[in-house]
Amino acid sequence: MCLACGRGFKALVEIEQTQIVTRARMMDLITGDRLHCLELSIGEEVERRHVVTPLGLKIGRTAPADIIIADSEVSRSHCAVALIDDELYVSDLNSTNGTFIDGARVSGVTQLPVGSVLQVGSRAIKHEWRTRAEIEHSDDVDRDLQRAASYVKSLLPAPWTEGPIRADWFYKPSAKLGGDAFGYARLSDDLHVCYLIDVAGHGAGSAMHAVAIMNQLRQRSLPNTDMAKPELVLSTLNELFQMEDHDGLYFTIWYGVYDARTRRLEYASGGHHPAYLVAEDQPAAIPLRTRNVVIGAMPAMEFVQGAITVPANASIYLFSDGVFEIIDKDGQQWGIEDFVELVLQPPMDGMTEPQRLYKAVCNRAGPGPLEDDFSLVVVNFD
Amino acid sequence: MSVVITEVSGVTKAALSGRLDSASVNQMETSFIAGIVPKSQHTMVDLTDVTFIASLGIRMLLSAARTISRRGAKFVMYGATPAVMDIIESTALSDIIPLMGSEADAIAAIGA
Repeated sequence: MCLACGRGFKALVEIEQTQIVTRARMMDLITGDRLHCLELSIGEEVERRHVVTPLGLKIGRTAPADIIIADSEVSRSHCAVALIDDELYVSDLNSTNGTFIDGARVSGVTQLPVGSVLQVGSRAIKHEWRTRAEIEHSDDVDRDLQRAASYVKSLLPAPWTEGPIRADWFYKPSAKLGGDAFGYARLSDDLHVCYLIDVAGHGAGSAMHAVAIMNQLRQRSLPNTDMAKPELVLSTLNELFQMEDHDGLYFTIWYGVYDARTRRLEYASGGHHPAYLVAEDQPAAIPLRTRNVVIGAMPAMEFVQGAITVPANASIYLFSDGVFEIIDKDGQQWGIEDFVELVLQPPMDGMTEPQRLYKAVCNRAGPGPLEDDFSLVVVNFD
Repeated sequence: MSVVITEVSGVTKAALSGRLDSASVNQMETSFIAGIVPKSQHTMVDLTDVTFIASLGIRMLLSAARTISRRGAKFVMYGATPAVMDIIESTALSDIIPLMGSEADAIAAIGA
């Protein structure tokens, strides 16, 4: 240490401060049964939780912020969160784009109530008040759900980037993990199948059910069923997966088979909203749906299928209801027609079509992560 | 979301209101089922004040309908708003649970 120049003194102070801060962050300095948590959904599937200590914390784009958000809309030192009398307060640190609580811009020191959402850049951070047991349990559950989501994802097909039929998708499981699954494959030289299933509910149970169904379809192992006949596939699935035999779970499905030789697409939907065909020279999206009940609701139901000739340079958009059943920033419930409007907008450079639509939906949705799984498959035909 | 169970002309009436989404179903499914199933009688569900039905809401209605049907009674719905009608149409739910326009229509369909 050089007392003459003072650099050593400064360094010592920094070391001492660092030691103090480190100690202060230990959980044993936090009194009370419940802890104030800031919970952040980030990246593909990891949710970060930060416990707010009496020292408070800072949010920014770079260190030394305590919560670092690598987002160009976030300032280096964006806002500060303080814990005062067991309440959280937020102050904006002259950020470029502002800080928002439940959509209202923060000016001065503003309380962040439990359950409210702090918006920093494009990221939403929820204030939760949790017991230590909840945090530990939640961490375990989150890890299990993340593992389940990873498993579902491992079963999804690789994008088809070459050839006359190309396919790509975007899958973003919700924090609670829903029961979405989808796939596409060749049935023969000419026949190609594409399907999406959506099991009712959330959690590992719905995901496990989705995986069980998807494996039947992936392995083409439905008994005595021509996998190229959508109505027969739905009928067999309905007999195999009656909800009373599967913990009360039913599912919806869209299943289509395309014949590259004739350009004919045969499809059937069981309780599922339409997929959409968008042709290059058509201003509207054509809904592809047949009226059939949800799968598993009642045995011995009749299923019907439809057919369409796919024009050149067309695309099919197949998706789960989590894509459009959102509450938008104005508090309005979206319908499928709102999403179809987005589908009809032009592509964006540097983004796949599924990525473009995911970003567009997130931009329209209220703060916080989407409530349901987001599953979207786009198939392009030469 | 709320559920009010009453009896009209010997028919159990379950009036639902609000959003029938995952959170609300978790909160009120027990009272809904407990309010109608033990009676084992014809049941009509009033959807007039329901603004949205998510998949768990469909599941709740299907489960109740199947249980009531197994006990030899009828289960119908009525009063869906256009937004809820879209959801019911999308899932073809009315192929399993008859959907009527009004309470009077529902009682007539039950034949009470």
